[in-house]
Amino acid sequence: MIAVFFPTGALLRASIGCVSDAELVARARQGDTAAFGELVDRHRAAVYRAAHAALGSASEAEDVAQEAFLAAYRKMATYRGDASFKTWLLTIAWRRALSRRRRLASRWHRFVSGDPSESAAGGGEGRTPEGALIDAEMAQHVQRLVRALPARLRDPLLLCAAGEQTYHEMAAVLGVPEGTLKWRVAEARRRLKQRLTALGYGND
Amino acid sequence: MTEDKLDREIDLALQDMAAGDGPVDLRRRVLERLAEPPPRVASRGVMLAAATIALAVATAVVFRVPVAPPTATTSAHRHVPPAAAPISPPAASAGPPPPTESARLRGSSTWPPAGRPQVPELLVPDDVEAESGMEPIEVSPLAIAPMETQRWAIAPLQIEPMQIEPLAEPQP
Repeated sequence: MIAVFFPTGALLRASIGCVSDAELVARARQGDTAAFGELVDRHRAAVYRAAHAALGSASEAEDVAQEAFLAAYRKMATYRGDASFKTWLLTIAWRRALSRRRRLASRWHRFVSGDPSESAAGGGEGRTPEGALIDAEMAQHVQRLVRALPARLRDPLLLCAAGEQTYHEMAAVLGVPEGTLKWRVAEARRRLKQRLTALGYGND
Repeated sequence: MTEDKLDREIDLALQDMAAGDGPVDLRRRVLERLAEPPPRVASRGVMLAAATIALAVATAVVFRVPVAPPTATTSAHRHVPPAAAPISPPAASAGPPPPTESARLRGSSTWPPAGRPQVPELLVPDDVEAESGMEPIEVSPLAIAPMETQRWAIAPLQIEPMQIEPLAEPQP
């Protein structure tokens, strides 16, 4: 007697989980939406954080992440494999986020000019109420200063904070040389520290 | 506050500004969208329907039957002040208008004949003169004289014969 086992959904997912991105991309190109779903799960956080870094809004970032995955699926035939799939995907997401940011310029202006209540962290576990208050106040100052940075400095800084991508990958996403990216991140941090010091945070 | 502390605070703020893992059901949402028919097909249908409707409306506007001019101001309206008498086309269901004074003066006018569509009565100079107190402008027929064209007489070119005398020999 021959027993035939068909993989259940969980088994299928577990088997897909061991497959490389390149293989999933190849399957997705042939119309395997389950393989593409696995790619969505793998890179969901990175794409969302990049969009969040660009837009500063959770709801907008969700929309852009979804649009980016849909666009990636439809453009799958154009992916040549020069960069990693993740970098290619992040590039799509970043461009879409910037495009939406341009459309939402007025709202972005409000974000830049500072309404820290939207994304200020609670944090402060194990701190005294006074210490937590000071930290929260400082976090608000830092966020306001980050928003006030010029976009060419702010975007790389936030994108670096958004994920675990390497400088090489982020340079490809932003379309700038790696050295330029590193300089911009360092310059952004230098300006932030300079301004925080001017606000009295650096003088203990 | 040391520089390390500043760096740490900056990192915390940045992580907060670009944090999150995205919606948990993103996979389901994306796959659902992929399963949907492409929106372009639907939008094409909508665009086609809209274009057809627009074309029909434009055709109707261009080729519509000209609306009958508003009912002429006749003696029937003389009792109404001009400002209070809006000009409106005759109602389709209304019967033939009451005979106007000019029509009565013309006496035997049978227009419009029974069963024919109602045609508004045009202004006649008598009515205009009586209503406005202004004399109608008389237009005299223009007498346009035909343009006279001169006839050109083309004479053949005549070449007069020339007398050419031989050159005299140079004198040494």
